Amino acid sequence: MLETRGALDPHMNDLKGTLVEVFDHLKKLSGPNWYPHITAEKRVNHVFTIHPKSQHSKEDVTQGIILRLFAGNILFERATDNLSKDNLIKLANGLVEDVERAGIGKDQGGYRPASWTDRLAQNLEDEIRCQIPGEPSANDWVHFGVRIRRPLWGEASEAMDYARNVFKEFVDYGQHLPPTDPASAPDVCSVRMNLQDHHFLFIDQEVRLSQTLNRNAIFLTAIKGGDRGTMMRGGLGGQETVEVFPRDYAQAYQDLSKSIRADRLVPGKYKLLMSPSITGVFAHEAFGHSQEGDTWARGRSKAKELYETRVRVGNDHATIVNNPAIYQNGDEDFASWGSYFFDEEGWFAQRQELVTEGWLNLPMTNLSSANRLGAPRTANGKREKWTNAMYVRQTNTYFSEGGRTFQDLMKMVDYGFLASVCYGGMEDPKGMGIQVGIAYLEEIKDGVLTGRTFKAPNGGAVQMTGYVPDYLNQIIDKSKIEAFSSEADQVPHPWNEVGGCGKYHKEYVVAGCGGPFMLVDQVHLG
Amino acid sequence: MKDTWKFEELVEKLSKEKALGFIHHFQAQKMNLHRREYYLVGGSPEGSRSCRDQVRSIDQNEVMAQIHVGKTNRRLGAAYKLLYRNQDLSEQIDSLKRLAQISDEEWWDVPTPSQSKIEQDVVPTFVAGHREDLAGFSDHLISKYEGAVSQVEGGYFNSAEVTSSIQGVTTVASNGFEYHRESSRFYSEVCFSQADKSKGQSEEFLITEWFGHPDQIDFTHMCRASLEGAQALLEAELPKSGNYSVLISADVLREIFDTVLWQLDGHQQYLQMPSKKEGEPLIKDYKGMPFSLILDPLIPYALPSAGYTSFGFANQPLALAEDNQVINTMRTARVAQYLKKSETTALGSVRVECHGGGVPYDDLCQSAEQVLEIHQFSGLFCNPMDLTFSSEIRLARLHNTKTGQSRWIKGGNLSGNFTENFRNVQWSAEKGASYSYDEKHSKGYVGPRYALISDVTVSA
Repeated sequence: MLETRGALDPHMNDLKGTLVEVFDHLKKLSGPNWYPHITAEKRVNHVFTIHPKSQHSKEDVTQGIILRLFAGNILFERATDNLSKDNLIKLANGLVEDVERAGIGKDQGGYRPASWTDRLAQNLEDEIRCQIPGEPSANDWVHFGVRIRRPLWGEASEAMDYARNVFKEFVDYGQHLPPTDPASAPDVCSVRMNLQDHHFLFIDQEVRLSQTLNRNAIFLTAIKGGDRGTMMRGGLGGQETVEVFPRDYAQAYQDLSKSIRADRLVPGKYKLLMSPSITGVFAHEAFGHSQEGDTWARGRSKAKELYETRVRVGNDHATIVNNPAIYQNGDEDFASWGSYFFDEEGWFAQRQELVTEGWLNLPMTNLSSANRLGAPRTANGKREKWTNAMYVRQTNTYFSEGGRTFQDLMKMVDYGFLASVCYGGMEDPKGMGIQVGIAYLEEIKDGVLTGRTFKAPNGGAVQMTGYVPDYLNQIIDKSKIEAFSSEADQVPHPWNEVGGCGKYHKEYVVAGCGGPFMLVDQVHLG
Repeated sequence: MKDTWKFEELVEKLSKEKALGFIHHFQAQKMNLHRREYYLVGGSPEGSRSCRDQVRSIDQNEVMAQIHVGKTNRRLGAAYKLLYRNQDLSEQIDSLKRLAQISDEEWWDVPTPSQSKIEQDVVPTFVAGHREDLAGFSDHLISKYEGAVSQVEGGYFNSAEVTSSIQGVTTVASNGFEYHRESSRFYSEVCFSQADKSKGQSEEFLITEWFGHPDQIDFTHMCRASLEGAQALLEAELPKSGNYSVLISADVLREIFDTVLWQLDGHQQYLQMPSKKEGEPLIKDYKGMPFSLILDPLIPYALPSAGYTSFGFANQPLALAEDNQVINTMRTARVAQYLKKSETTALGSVRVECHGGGVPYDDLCQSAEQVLEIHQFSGLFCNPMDLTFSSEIRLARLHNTKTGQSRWIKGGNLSGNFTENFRNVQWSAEKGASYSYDEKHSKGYVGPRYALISDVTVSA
């Protein structure tokens, strides 16, 4: 199988010349201590939806350019989807006027952009280094593309045929369920497949970068009454990212069955064995959001104070990682959902520990928060799309792995629950509260699943709530990455699931979350 | 990269394709959006209370086309695409037609519009002067905001955001309907915190609001509410587990009724998803205060408002439920034909009209031994499939009529169900409204500012 890499969209390639001219113009107008830079993006999303009554293919494309000036302590932006050089030159003039109107002098500022020498001195993954040719100069464009093992379909009709085929197999699988299975004869089944091609350009006075991220996912859903069973897969790459197997159909129907027959939980504190999906959401909502540098800079995170006063927030198991550089997701052969090569401010992706054995580290940052905090820059600058603002966002967030197997952890549970299917979450960076939604729980008694499942008292999703440091101090143990094998882990990173994140109740971006199985004591569920 | 075609050429080409029978029906739309954003963070101790962290301007101009093409067996193919003015138009239309061929849905026809051209929407959604001087308008707003932040005393100012947008949309449909609308939109958030240094505690309280008109915004009130909320959190305790009468406000009602609307959407009925039909009870075994549930698309400066659909159906307030019986569902032209019923209004704000005036807020707080008044949820998740809702309690006030005391509450899970907990609902006499905006789906609620619902499980 001949591997390829994601290639830059031809229209974006054509834009490079214009970008260089506009950048040069902006640089000439800028003060010597201002930091001018430009980003351009094109996000193409194909969504294929198969439903018993209809089949749709929708193509959504957004494309825009953002001119940026970091001057004094303020970040100024002007963004447009009118890509003509004349318009961009006018925009650059307007941007400089914005800075001058804010009363910022030409000599104010002082951010020094990183050169190629600075960047190559960082601890970068091989997958990034191997795409940097020799010693690039400030004028060389360097492209990064996702590794593709099986090329995506050339025509939308071929992708649609694939989705139709998956739908047919999914429905057929359900028709062979025994009538006694609660999930038999569902009301509706559907398949949705998202194929995203996201292209980015970044230019400042030191580097010129481009990247192409082919991010794909497939979702299977079976619905009966008000209950739902789902399965999802995805990542960065080609067709391999959306390949489904009979075990995936089985999972969706088993999920539906467990939801249908669920009893209502008596709220209380229980031992909770979290699957990687739930562990990931827990990490994301805990430290996580509290470790986003713009939240620190806004005075809205307790983590800043806890870091500065060296207060321990968890036990030895509490190591939480944010990593945009996962190019092999668990034992899957492709990059994980939240990965990229550089963030949307041109900073290269690197693994970062947010909490190490219960001790907080410096936060994730973007350009403006790193400047305000005096903290190192990390590759966490992201936006929903070009019309939206830049925030510090998570990429792939997960707990580090432990040494146990899944069975080892099960045996540690006299009475408790296994949680596998996530249903949202919410952060509270200042109060250190947490909310993790779980579609249903599976009862464990004396190390064995009893077959009983439970939903919340209202018949809906269970909410795990409480105080983050309490839970991080109540971690009993964690599994290996390969939790169902007693051999040493062969893969470098825990698995991260397809997901998304809203910040401050808006600004939706993709985010992966995952980790090992993790057993936590005294978890409040209701 | 220069523009090579105009919007009018797109309409002309699509019309020709329709006349030749290659397209069954189409919509062409151009949208322009201009927005100005300001982000504030805390200032220096010696200087002003806030300072600017980011200043942004956005100019967006999009053209999109949606077409339906005829297929065999009286089926249609549909496709939707954003188009680029600097790329060949004929090629893009051909690509759209190819995309439509691989889709499949039941046949439907576009109805004849009630009017042919609407130059200005019948419902006010646009603020005079906003488009002509967006920068000046927005600079004035942020100055007022900065003034409000500096006037409010106490606590710590953390951050604020203010955005001011003006959006213009022109739609031309294959049935000859042409529709121009402009809408103003404002977003504001503010976050203050308070600290109790003796306990090493600090809390913040974020307030967010969407508005259709600057007159709806009271920055000083938002700042004070944020400060007071943060102070209350310092004093708050965990609730005791149990079943409570719960007082919820307009912003929560907006979210819960949005899931109810989902089940009153004829499209869900067509897809065989959980849905309510005409003649069914809205809430089983209902014994609460009688009310009308209305979908209102014509509320001035409400974010979901629009006078017409893009095919020219004149939206009117639609009574969805009366005295607990569902009397209508929402049906676009397409869904109406599938269900063999008439088209109805399918967008707007939820309006609840309580018969008999409602109960004053103070009386509602005293109407059970304990009433838990929700000030804010951490993250309210509402499930339209089963109408359940749940969240951690970020801040609430517990009123105890036995002791005459009330205290602040935070934390704990609230687990609710519309069909169970609204069975005995009581509505407040005071009125309120709440809106939220999303590109794909805006929500609105207008009606009693509070609702008292019963038997809600809270655990801590």
